[in-house]
Amino acid sequence: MGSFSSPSIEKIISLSPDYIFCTGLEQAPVIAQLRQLNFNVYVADPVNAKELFKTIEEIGQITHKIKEASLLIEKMESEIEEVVSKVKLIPQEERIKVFIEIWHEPLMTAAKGSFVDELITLAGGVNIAHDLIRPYCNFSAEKVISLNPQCIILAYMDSQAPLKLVQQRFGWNKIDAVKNGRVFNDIDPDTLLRPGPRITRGLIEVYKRLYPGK
Amino acid sequence: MSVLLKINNLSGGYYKEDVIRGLSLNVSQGDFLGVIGPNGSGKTTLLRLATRVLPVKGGEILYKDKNIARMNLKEFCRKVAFVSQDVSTGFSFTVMELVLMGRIPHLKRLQYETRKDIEIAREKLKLTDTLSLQDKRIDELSAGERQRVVIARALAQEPELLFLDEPTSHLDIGHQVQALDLLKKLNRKNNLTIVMILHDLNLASAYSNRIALLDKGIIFKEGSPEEVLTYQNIEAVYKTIVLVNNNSVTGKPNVVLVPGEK
Amino acid sequence: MRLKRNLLILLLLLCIAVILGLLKGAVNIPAANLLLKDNQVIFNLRLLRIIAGVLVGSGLAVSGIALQAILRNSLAEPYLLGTSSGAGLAAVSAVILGVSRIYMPLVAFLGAALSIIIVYNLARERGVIADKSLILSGVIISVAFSSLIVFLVSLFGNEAMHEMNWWLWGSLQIYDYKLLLLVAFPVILGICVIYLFAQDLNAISIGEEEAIHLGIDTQNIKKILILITALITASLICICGIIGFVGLIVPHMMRLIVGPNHKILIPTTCLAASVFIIICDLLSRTLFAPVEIPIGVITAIIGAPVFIILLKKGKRIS
Repeated sequence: MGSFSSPSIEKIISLSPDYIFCTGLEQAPVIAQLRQLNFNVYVADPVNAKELFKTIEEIGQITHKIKEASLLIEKMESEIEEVVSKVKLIPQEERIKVFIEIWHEPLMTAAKGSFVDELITLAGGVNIAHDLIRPYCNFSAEKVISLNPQCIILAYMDSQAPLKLVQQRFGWNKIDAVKNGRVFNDIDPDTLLRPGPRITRGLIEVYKRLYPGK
Repeated sequence: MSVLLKINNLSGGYYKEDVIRGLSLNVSQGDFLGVIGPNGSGKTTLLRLATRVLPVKGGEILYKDKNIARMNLKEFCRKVAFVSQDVSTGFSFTVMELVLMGRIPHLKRLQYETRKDIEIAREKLKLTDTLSLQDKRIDELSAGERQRVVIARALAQEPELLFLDEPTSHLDIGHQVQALDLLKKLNRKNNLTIVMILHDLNLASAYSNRIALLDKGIIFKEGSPEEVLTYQNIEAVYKTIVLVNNNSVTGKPNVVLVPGEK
Repeated sequence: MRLKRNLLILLLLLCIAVILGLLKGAVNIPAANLLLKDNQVIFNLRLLRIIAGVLVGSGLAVSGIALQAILRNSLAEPYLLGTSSGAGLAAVSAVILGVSRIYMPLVAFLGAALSIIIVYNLARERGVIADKSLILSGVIISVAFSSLIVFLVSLFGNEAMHEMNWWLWGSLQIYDYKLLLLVAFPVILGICVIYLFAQDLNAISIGEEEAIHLGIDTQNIKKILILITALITASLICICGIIGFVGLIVPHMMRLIVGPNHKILIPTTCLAASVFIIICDLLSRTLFAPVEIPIGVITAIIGAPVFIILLKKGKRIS
């Protein structure tokens, strides 16, 4: 229906949907328009697992697929629980410090209030940029170097190997994550950034990178 | 008197249009040549061609027998200067800074102005009665003051030949006489050759030793003021009725306009 | 005399700015500890930013001066000839096509170069460049490319949008110091060449015809200077993205303070622009540390009101 941030209203209308599902952020003007046209619009913008489950439940109710929704929630809850229980066994001092790099230029990271921060926390990691004023913001390279994360996750693709990409940066080769080669970009960004059923996949991948072999 | 500027069969203008078509004119050293003619006759175009602002399309212009198009531009500008009619400037340089720019043809690119250059600039400011304005910014001056500053800048180039396009248009009658008197003095004492476009036929008559009357891109009549400023010539070119009598002070022709309506 | 005094004051300001820039940052390090071996990396990072700042500030400001003189318009600025949108378009396209990050500076440079070539040729009429045509072509190409950028971003979403932000607002965050060194050559060379043309710039700025009457070969000089400003601007975009206002505000400000004589204006503006950018970068790093505000935002927020104040107070107004 057009593109992610600017769906085609005409196309939506032409399909005469009973219900339209959106996320709040970029699609707000479209949502307002659709509501004006008397369409049923459901908006959800979960920022953590709990809210996500609520959203799934509500969608289940709207689409009369309550049973499927419950099953999905159960499945996800158990997958998450599996990871969380393993994490509980890891003592606080051994929790891995993580830097999540949303973009390289300008250097952007995710903080509390973002889904990926929630995933990192659930996976037993410590997001070095956790306490920032906004869920997504530009970050100082200086700070990354001084906070010395043990693992860096790039949330975007590049044809170059992630380690090489980060290693070449002036001053970054002193960071533990770079020295030990723990720079990853092979987790599908959609499973990290977009709230949905696949986040459990993302969670497992993050856990595997942070605590290999545990 | 040696011929300073030879214009042979000159053609040129803007884009496809040739405003000047086959014009020939000689300017001798020491001349005070008044260029007159109706609007659109090509006076300004002629000066632009003669100062290398416009490219020559046909014919040639020789300065001391050297084709001006082949001369080094700075060398040319050490000999020939131009005072334009339009005296508006964008950036607010001081009067001294502007007049000092007249020394650029004498300076190499990286050279700073020397004390001698500053002395020359000051001298020219004095001549044009603008020395007291030297530290003022150009946009603080009246139009008349600006025009005198521009003349000072051209004089600072210390040219042998000076072109002027309506240099007195913004000046009151007192300053008009002052400026033209100065130019006449420089013409007589320092042998400065002058070619000046003037709308005021009587100013041209009073100061020029020769007059060139332009019409439709060629010279209609050239010669002394008495030869050129006859009512027949003026009526033929300007298409208006005039009366030409004698200026009792200068002895030169005096053109009197005859209003159609009273 | 006056020039020497102005230069000394500005040099002093620059030293202060550099010291502040080294002392302050996202990470709080007390001055005494800054030179310790442990903190060497952060010290070097800040030093790199300051060097980049001096380069960017001087380069953009002097390019602004040159364009303002050529076009006889003090509202001209380095990105007028389409360099910014050309670079941005190239960068966004490259991101969408999956080109690796390491080629970005080259891509941006080529994009900027391409748009200059287009603007230049659009403005050329019978081998002559008319000022109005140049400004018009520049604006047209900028608008055209900017709309293409928005179009691409709307189609391809997030990654393109992130990339666009960098180009829109710039950053002195240098990852590749070798690139900085590489870029320093054309920029410093360009600035020196423009200074060599100070005399010509003085003459050209009072009028096309007036300059010819003073012996200046205006057409060729304009071509050379446009080429050089394009080179400087494109090179700087490669490492820092687009940083607005510097190339417009600082020349204008300095012209109001020291006057329009380019022999004085150019060196003083270099120093003033460096101070300005270093301070802006400092603010961008420290205001909401460790979050970095893009420097283009700071230059705009500071630049606009300063400009208005100067305009109202300034005696030398063009």
